[in-house]
Amino acid sequence: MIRHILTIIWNERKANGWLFLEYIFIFCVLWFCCDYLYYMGRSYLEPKGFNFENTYYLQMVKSLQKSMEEEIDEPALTTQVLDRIRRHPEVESVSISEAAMPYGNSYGTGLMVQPDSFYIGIRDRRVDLSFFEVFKLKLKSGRIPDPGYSGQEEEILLSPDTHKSIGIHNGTPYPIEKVIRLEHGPDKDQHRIVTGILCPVKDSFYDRYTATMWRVKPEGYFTLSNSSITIRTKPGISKDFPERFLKEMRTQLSLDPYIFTSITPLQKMEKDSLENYGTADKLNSVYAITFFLIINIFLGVIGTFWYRTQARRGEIGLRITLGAKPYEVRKMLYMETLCILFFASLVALNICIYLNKYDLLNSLGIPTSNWNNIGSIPLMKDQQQMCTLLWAYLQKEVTVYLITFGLLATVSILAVWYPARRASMVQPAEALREE
Amino acid sequence: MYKIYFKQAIQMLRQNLFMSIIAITGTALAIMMIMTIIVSEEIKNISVDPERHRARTYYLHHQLEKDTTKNHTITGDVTFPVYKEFLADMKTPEIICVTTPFKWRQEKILLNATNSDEFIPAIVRATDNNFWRMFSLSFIAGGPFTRETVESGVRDAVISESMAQKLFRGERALGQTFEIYELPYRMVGVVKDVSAIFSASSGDVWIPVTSDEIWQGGCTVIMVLKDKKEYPTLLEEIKTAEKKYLDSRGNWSISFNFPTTHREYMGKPYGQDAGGISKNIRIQYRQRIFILLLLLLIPAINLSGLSLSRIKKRMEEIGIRKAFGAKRHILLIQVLFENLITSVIGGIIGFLLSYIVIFNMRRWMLGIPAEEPIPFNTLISFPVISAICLTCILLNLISAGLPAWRAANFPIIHSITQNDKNV
Repeated sequence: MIRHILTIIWNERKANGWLFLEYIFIFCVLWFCCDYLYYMGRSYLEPKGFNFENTYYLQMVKSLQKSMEEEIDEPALTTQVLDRIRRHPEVESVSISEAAMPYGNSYGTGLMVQPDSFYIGIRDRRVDLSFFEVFKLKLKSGRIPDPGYSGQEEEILLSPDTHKSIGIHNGTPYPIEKVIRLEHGPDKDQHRIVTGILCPVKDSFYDRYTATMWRVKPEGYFTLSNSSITIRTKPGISKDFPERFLKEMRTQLSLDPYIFTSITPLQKMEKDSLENYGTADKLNSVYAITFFLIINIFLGVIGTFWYRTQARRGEIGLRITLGAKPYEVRKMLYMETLCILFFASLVALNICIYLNKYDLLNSLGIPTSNWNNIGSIPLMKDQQQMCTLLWAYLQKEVTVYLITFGLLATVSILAVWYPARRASMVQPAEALREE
Repeated sequence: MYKIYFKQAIQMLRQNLFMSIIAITGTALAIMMIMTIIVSEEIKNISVDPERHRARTYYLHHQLEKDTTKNHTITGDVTFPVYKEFLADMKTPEIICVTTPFKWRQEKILLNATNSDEFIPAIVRATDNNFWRMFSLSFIAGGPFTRETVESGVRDAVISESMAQKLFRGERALGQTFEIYELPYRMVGVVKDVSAIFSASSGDVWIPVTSDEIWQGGCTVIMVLKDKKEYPTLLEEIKTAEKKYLDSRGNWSISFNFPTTHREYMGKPYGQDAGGISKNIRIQYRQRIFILLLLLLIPAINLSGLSLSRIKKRMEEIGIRKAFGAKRHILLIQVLFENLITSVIGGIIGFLLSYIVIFNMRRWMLGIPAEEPIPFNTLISFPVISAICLTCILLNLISAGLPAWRAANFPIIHSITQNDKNV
């Protein structure tokens, strides 16, 4: 069967040439689209660590007019504001934090010195105890430090990065389990004790997990101007909660010199960040190109086979006369398409792998996937890991190949369906008379 | 002559309706995608009121301060004190002004009318008096703030019509006050709403940059040159400003990015330093060309295959015409012309569709909010018209060129006997 079809394809090689060329071209571009979309899909499915459902960010702004005036008792003010929010019947938990909230305005990094003295950047987030409740962050092992603890060495929690490490040391990830004590910054006296490991976290699904140190502080540590207040409402609260809350609490929470200006759902902030950092644009472009390619291959295949089945009416008529069933004729046409696609995909695959080796795509500004960002591809630790690494890459390439091939095959079969149906319904006597 | 070709082409389209629809759909899709990119690009860059100088406008948005004794650098937007001391007095630009950088989807600031506790999100643009000379916003009442206002830091404000409506509910806005985080501003002018398409001038509220320190940290300097040829002089003058900074600050040096054109600036040329910014600009150019090529080539291969099959069926006719003495170039032109009709029909459909796409996806294509209107005078321009014509012709040439050449050069005998083995 296959041999017979190969012969037919070879005999029609001139007309098939165009289709072959088009398949190669489209396969190459679609390959990169599928790679990107598959990567984005995988990133999307990775848990963020944070739970944004029913969480809101309360914006407090310092009055511009009164900022220069007399001293303010900041800790008392913070406690007062938090207490008032806590008393609201619909609020489940309230938290105040510094450089910790996702999509917040501030971002802190610290420089850590490991026991064997290497330096690594790590995200530094200061939170109060209820932060873990508001975002439902899960503790993996150990215990949450006591905010009231005032010993010599500060107690912290750690969150691992993508490679379950706190960073890369000499090309290999430094496993988080090894870390018991951290030294901070150039000032070597500042020691920190790791009391537990928290789940890995990322702000947005397209981010990578970053190694994070969580410093748990008492409420009084935070000032309203440098910190962010986040709340979680009780489940089943109606949708107009933000407006209602704003109206009810505006005067209550606006304590001089701070003004309570707005309340924003974290889910909205997530959506906005997707748009503001261009990820939405990139995704839209890739969707548009994928759509364009699929429509084009559909039109190309349907057109080519329309003419072909017309030109081969005689041949098909003969087949039917000699006992071929209509479905066999259709099957033959489907197989022809799939064979051409298969050969084209082999050529295209080589081109794609070759292109991937070079920096060409980045110099064209094409959105590309960075598979190191998600944990499925490990970093090479030593020679033994080489196999795992290659295996992971192979798995990924095979998946992308199958997705691309599957997509093109489905579209092609849909496109051949109509011409093939027409061809198989031909009346043999009529077709034979044609010659 | 062409009339006959035309009639014949229309007849052929009708005869094989299914294939004609396929060819036209393919063309329309390609033209739609290409024109969506070109039209949205033109909407973002056309020089019309209020930003009528866009073609001669340059932007300076990045500064890098370096402590020459230590390895310590500070990068960011141009700050107002630096602008005032070193850049404001430059001679080359016809008009120079400073304004809040117009990041895409700008952060909104909450303001309230005095004695009202309803906060309204607004885009606040802090700027100076030259802004009103550079951009022709049309005033409904009052006027712009003056040079003296800016110099003394008086809190005057110009406000858009719709924002005035939101803040004061139809009361006369002029002379009233509103507050930005409890800092009161007095209304001196009301302007007609400016579409967000005009990214350098649009906003809800315009205030003097000197009115509070929070506005002075990050600015963009906008310059209009008399003539593009003066660009090298401008570069020289910026170099002089950098030198002046070094002389006055001792061990600190400063370097600005080279002034970018409006088109370059619209591509969000972010980067750590001038080199990084120019690299990003180059990447953006390459990306645009690559995508346009892709959108042109794939349908061209597609349509080429289709026209080849179509020509194959007509070889007999072409052979006979040749036998009766039709010249090669005449046949070539005829095939191209016939195909052009398909291209033009597809082109018109695609062109119309591209506007529908832009209108429905303006957030993505133009970077403006979905409810923001697109001014009519930005929609059609000379570059857009030439682009659509050029794309149609180009697509036609690539897709029908080879089949036409084949048809014209095929041996007569083979064509007449329909011996298509070699086609």
